[in-house]
Amino acid sequence: MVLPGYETFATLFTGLLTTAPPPFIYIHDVSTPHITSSVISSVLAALPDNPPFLHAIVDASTCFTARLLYDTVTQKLANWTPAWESGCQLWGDQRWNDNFDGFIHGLRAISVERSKSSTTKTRGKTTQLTPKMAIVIERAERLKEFLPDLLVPLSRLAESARLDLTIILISEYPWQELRPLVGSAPDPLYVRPPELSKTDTIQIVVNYFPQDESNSHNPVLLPLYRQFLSTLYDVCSPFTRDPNELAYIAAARWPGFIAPVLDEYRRLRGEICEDSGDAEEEEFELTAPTEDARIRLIRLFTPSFTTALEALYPRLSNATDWAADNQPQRNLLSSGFSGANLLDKSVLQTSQGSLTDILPRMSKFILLAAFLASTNPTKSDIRMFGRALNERKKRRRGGVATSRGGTVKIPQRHLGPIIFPVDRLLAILGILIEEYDVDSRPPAPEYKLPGEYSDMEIRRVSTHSGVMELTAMRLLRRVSPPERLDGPPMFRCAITYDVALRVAKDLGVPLNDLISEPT
Amino acid sequence: MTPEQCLDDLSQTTVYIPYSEPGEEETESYSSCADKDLPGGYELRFDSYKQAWAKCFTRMQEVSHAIYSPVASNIVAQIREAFTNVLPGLPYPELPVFAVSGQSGDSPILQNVVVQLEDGNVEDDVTPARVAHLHPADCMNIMLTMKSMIHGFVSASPEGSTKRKSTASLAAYDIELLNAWYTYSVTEQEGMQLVVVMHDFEQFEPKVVQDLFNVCSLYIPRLPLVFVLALSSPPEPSYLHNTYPRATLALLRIHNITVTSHVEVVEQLLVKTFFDPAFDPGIMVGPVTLDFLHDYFTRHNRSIDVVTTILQLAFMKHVDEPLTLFLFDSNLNCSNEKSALRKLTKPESFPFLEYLFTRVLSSQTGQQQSRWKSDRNDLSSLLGVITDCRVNFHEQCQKFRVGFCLLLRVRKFVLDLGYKSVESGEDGESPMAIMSRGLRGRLTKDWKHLGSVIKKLNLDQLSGLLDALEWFFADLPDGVFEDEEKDRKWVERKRASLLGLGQASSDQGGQAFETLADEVGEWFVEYSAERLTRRLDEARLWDIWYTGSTPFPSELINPAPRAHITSALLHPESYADQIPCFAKSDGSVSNDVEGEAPAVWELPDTSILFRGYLEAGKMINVFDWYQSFAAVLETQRDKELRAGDQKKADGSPCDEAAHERRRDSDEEEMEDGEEMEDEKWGMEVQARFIRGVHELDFMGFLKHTGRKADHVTRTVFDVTEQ
Repeated sequence: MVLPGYETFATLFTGLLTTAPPPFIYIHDVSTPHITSSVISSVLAALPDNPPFLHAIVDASTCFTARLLYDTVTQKLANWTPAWESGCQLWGDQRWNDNFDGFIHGLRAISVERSKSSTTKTRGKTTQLTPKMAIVIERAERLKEFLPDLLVPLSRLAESARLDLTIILISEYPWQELRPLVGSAPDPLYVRPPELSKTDTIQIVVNYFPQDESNSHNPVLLPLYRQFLSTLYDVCSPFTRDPNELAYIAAARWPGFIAPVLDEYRRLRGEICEDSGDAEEEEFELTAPTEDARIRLIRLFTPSFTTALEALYPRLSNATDWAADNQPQRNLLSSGFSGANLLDKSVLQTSQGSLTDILPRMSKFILLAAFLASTNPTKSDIRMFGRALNERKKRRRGGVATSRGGTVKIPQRHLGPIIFPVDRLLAILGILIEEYDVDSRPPAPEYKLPGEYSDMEIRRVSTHSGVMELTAMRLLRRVSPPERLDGPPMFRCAITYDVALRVAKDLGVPLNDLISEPT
Repeated sequence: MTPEQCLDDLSQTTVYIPYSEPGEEETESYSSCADKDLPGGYELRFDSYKQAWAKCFTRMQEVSHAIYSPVASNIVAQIREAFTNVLPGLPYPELPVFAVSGQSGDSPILQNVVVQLEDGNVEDDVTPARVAHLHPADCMNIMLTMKSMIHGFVSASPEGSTKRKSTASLAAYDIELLNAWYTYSVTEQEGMQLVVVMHDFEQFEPKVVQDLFNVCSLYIPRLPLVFVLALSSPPEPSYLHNTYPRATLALLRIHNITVTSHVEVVEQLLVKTFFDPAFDPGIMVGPVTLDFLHDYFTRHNRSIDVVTTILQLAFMKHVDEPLTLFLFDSNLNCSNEKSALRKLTKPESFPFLEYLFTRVLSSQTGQQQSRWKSDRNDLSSLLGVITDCRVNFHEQCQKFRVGFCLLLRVRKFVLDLGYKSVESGEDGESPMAIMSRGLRGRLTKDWKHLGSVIKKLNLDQLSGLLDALEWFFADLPDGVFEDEEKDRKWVERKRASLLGLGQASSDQGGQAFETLADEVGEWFVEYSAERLTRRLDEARLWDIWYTGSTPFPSELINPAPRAHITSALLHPESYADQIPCFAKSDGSVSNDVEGEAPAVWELPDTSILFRGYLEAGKMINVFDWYQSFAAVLETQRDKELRAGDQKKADGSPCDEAAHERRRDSDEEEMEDGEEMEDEKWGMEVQARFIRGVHELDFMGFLKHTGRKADHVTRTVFDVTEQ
């Protein structure tokens, strides 16, 4: 079945392939390449079998070596599945995956093999038909990464193999991005599939609706589902129009959306059963809710569509969990419902085990020191942290960003973290623990000089291993290669301002006073 | 294993090569206090340490297993239904991914999960899953990753050995191979899941993992692949969401699993190991160790391994004490008492015996002391005393444990009722702190307060408390059960009378109830006071079984190597008596007056160079450095010569001028010989300089930048102690 919105495209494409297939087609689809791929594959599957039309659809992301590409294409063209019992033997009596030459020979061998089996009789004379071939490569942009040398040979495959063969690349990038700079790749036939309209998109998503007799996916509810999708589309279309994404969000929201209807149905059924005994129970069937109820439902649930989009589009939560977490309260329709209750429930709860619970105290200080080292410019360190005797209060806040000279200074934390050596990190750490960690320390009478304890603490093994552990957690990024022994290792902090603020609050450190350019 | 064997063994990460003087063949048996130790005592004590530690370690593993296995079962259950419990209407199947956070290294939870997955469940007819492990080191690129994943599945199966021709069959990194294998083996084992465990997930190259997920998601659900990721980072902020693009995340169905906070696990671990009446750990840890453990755990490293290491170290440190020979029995590892006595009466054992006598004598009362003094040869009764002490200590320890557990139980009960006031400290004291306070005998306030709270409980609450107490006594292990007979009976009686009260009329019952509540409160205070007031270190010879308040060797766990190296270079004299090779052969170090720093010329070469190093600027001119070094060595040579002369003069008065004169005349006489000697001396100075510089270089104090000829860069500037 051809997907809605693609009917004309499919007819044209079929015509193109059956009459005079060009050797090289490039399909560029910016928004929904996976849908286009599925359309192409359904077109190919529906092609007439006389003369035979062999096709292979491969995903370039799975073909990370040339051998994999050759193997996958030949096996699919030959319609051969390697079996474990026979030692995963590949098709043919020869090896086709050695190099590009072998691959071409393999293609020819397949062609010869198929032409033997397909014959046609014209005027009593039996002639063998040479099969046509199509090789579809999805996510073709990955070819450039994995097999850049093969792009030119592949684009000229029909020429070099002397076969009636079409190579079709599908990608979300334009051909100009992929075309190798050197080497002569011929220009492909450039195809742009149609943009999907709202009705087509909704129709595609409706196709995913698993129609079974179970209550929530009863075919009776299909009109309501369509209406539901239409509203969902309106909410989501500024951000995504991908049918897959819409279907994903719809799948997560639908069980909650339909639950009040089902509750109502169960309640009514219960009442009827009480009235007339068990006999009629089966006859009472689920019906679509009235127009009035539909409007009420949609009005009630529309705010939660945005919440669903926010949580599900970036995959902060998965659909299954989200659906389970966002069930509306029971018997919503019959009880006097208010939208506020529903929204309260759908607010994402902050998960347990956040950074501040898991990290040991010293690691939090290290993280904070790293954040400061990544945010404050090096030259501000003495101003921010320098401490002469009795000069603690002299520290000034950093200059306010002025528009003098026409340039506005952008705070460093909006420009991304800067790189710092580990020594700088430890120096800032020393200041931090000296100022903010004194009270929680165990007594250590052996340190008499002021600051000696902190000084020892930052040189201890566990401090260094704390740095390494945070790096292992990727909360710090090591910028210098680990094999370089010369010079201090360089790091960059990988936490955001918000996280740093939370950590600082946990430790009782006034973070904003320590940033040289507070907002 | 000898060091040579260790060096050949690839599995060893660290090899200890003990220092031995060139002349010495075999190092003596180690002993920290040789003057009061038994010959071979160290080995004997080490054996008893091993015994005690093995017992304790097994217990800790059992406890942590018990804590973790429900968590693991929950994860396993979720993994099992990863492909059945799917939301209907999804546009494409998702790859189930379980992100278990807070895991470092080989975590017990993951091991547990893997074991349960591979076992399957015969009763519920669950096919065991196949598990493949991926480690970052094996996954440098997508080809290797796929290869090791497929190999992990295929090679572990009995069918995996099918011969394949390498060229004419599928490549070893082709997922079709896995597909073919799965189609073949699933006919026998229906519904077999393929679980991929990715260890240290943060260390994987994100690009490779993206490709891996891409490839695998195309084969879902034909291949029921489930990924389990061991993350060491916290779930919030999520590493997965920060690192991977939306396109990859859209392929996955991520379940975040957070494991119970480690703090609670450690608390349970400690309570179950050291404060459980059902278990005797052999060596009881003291409050200082517990405090250190608590501090280190919350401050530096929140892992269970660290707890194990600290306890192990505490055990090891404990057996340093010679008397811990008597940790488990009084027979000194001999088969019977007789041979033990024979061992003690050998002349080499006398220092130990002497020490033993002193200790035992000081722990006796006056009358016993006099009896002991009169009959010093009665060694067997001496050993008998130690046995008595052991029994005594264990009894007291057991009583303490019962009392402590009861206190914890009552505290928990009262806390659950909402009496927040029983929590001492600002915002809820951790049980770890209570343990340490309990061992210090500072819980009086707690039990008195709890007692007064009990008196205020109402009827239902009190009956609940008495129920809890009855269960507590019923749960006690056999040996203790009988000892607590009296209190157990008392609680039972009170409970019975409380039940009677419940049926009695309200007015009369109210009065009776109040008296009953008072009684229970009083009883609790008395019971706790009886068991918890007496500290463990008040028992006789307690230091054999109890680490008490001996300081924990924290420098071993958390040293500051750079600070120590610098301070050793600055003040070698304070390290010299520990390392004999540092002391000069002529004993020039030893003639120092205590507290007075030695002059520069008295220091070892490297230290002299280090002094020069500290005085230099950012870059050091090597030649200048050499000259200053040579000058110091000149002084050193002079002083040594003079000291030699003084010895020759045999104490005769020798003033400076006379000495100079004599040296001058000597020089004239033997000018030729002197020249030869000077040349030799110059060579020696050069050699010593080079050696010293190399030593500093080796320790990382120098950097050769080549920016300026004959200069090296300093790397250390912040030296505090001058």
